[in-house]
Amino acid sequence: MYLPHLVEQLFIGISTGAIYAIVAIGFNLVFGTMNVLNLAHGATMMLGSYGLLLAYYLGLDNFWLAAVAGIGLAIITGLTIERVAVRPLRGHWWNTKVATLGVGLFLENLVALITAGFPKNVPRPFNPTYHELFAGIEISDVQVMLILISISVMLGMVAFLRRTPAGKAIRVLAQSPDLARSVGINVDRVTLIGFGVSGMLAGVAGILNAMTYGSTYPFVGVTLGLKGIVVLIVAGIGNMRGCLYVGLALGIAETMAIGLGGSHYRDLIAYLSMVLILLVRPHGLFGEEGRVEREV
Amino acid sequence: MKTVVPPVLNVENLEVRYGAVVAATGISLTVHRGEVVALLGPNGAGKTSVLHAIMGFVKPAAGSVSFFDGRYVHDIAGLEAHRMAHLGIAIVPSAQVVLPRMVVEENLEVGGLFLLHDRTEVHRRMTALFERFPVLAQRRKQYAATLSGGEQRQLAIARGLMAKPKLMLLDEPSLGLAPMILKEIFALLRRINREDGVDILIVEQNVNKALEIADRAYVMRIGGIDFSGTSAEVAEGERLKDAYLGT
Ligand SMILES: Nc1ncnc2c1ncn2[C@@H]1O[C@H](COP(=O)(O)OP(=O)(O)OP(=O)(O)O)[C@@H](O)[C@H]1O
Ligand SMILES: [Mg+2]
Repeated sequence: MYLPHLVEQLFIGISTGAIYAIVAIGFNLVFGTMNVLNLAHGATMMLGSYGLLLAYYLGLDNFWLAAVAGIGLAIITGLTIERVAVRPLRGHWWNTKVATLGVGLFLENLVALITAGFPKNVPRPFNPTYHELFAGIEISDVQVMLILISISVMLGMVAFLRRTPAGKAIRVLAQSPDLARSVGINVDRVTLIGFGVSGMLAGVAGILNAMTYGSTYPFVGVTLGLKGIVVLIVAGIGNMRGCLYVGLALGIAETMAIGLGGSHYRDLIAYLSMVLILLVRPHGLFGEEGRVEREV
Repeated sequence: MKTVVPPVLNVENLEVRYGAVVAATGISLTVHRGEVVALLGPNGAGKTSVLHAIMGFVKPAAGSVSFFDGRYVHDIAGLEAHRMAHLGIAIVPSAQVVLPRMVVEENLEVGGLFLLHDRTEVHRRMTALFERFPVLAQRRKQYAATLSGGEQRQLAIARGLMAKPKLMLLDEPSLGLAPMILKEIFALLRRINREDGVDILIVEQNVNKALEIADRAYVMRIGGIDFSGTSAEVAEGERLKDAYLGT
């Protein structure tokens, strides 16, 4: 493989890795703070991309507005999951896992039933044009946009968690539910907000993924969701910045593996690296010791 | 003519259970305006359980709890803890007293952010409390996890004061503190009571220290209240020793 190709692969790796990071951060928001592993997160991503398609189908002929509609559907899904599969089972760690898994499977099979299970093409905001950077290295404007959107989403999340009262409430809740209550935080409401924001991140990830491949299918969230969990666990639960680094690293490693050996090495890389890293660091790369025991 | 002022906190026949385990039963106690009241007793007597039931961390299995905010008497038994906070009740727990992954400044801010609903007021209170707790002011950008035990306890008390509570519940503030720091914290609690007009219900293992600052005390044996009285009465009587020795 010659150098320009390698650099092009690197860009693709960064943009897919950024999607993994967003998925992982979405998981982390409800897992690291509210102690719920939301196994319907993948289905929520899928609904984000189908929401976009639905908006087109209903006659909305603008990519960005349709994307907003898709994200809206994902937010509603996140909120509904909290009310239906999480709140009634509050505190029952296994039960919420099973319930969210059930909701996820239901949604995926429902969409498969309605759409006959075929992948669907997803419109693009514009047709990609390639620009030569230097020495024959080309990058498409869609790729640049994917990377920029991902960066803004992550900066937005950091600002939300650091600066806004709702974001601070989520962080307090993550550290101690009782302390959260004692400073006047309505834990039910903040949990709901957390699921809403997590749903929004799922919607964004689902749409970015559809933009990357130009298509989506009912079970797109299964692999993507698993990758998100891999990133979260390898990064260390509760660590947003870790999710970003590990997500990018995984995306880059995967595309490099494809470039060097072919696409069947792709998932091997993901899961093997998880096992190896966890053997060396059981709490993840950026995780604090004791944190997992305390919060799981 | 004498007007009757209701007690700030009035607990009657409270029972706290964890499933089949009865942690405390038949608990009746009051805290009047201006008072520091101590709740004493041996390990496992149920002191923390009583405090947690008052705050709403656990739902009382039976009994009534009322809180007088200066204007109205609220029936608060079974209310969620965040509503207690909004009514003007603060708690300083015995374990995990601070938010470890937030800096000192943010720990303090969080104490008022959801109760004061006005950022300028939050900042005014922060400035006032940093003046009052110079140790915390020096460490404002430091993560709370890196503070010493005494500093963490001070931070928790300062956080509790952010929204100007009427009643403060403290669970073993002396836990793990060196004698010098302990003296400082107890002097501080007395000032909070006298100068800020915060009524205090304090759970303590350090009986002597607690009786020094308390006006009255309740002594628990396992699961219930054994006896009560003014601090002097409780300190002098033989029953205190009995309660701790379980005789
Ligand atoms: N979450 C819980 N689940 C079950 N039992 C509990 C729980 N918390 C406390 N208990 C039990 O209730 C009883 C009273 O405990 P509590 O913590 O209220 O006592 P305490 O007086 O605060 O003791 P200490 O002085 O050791 O702090 C104990 O027997 C304890 O084992
Ligand atoms: Mg206790």
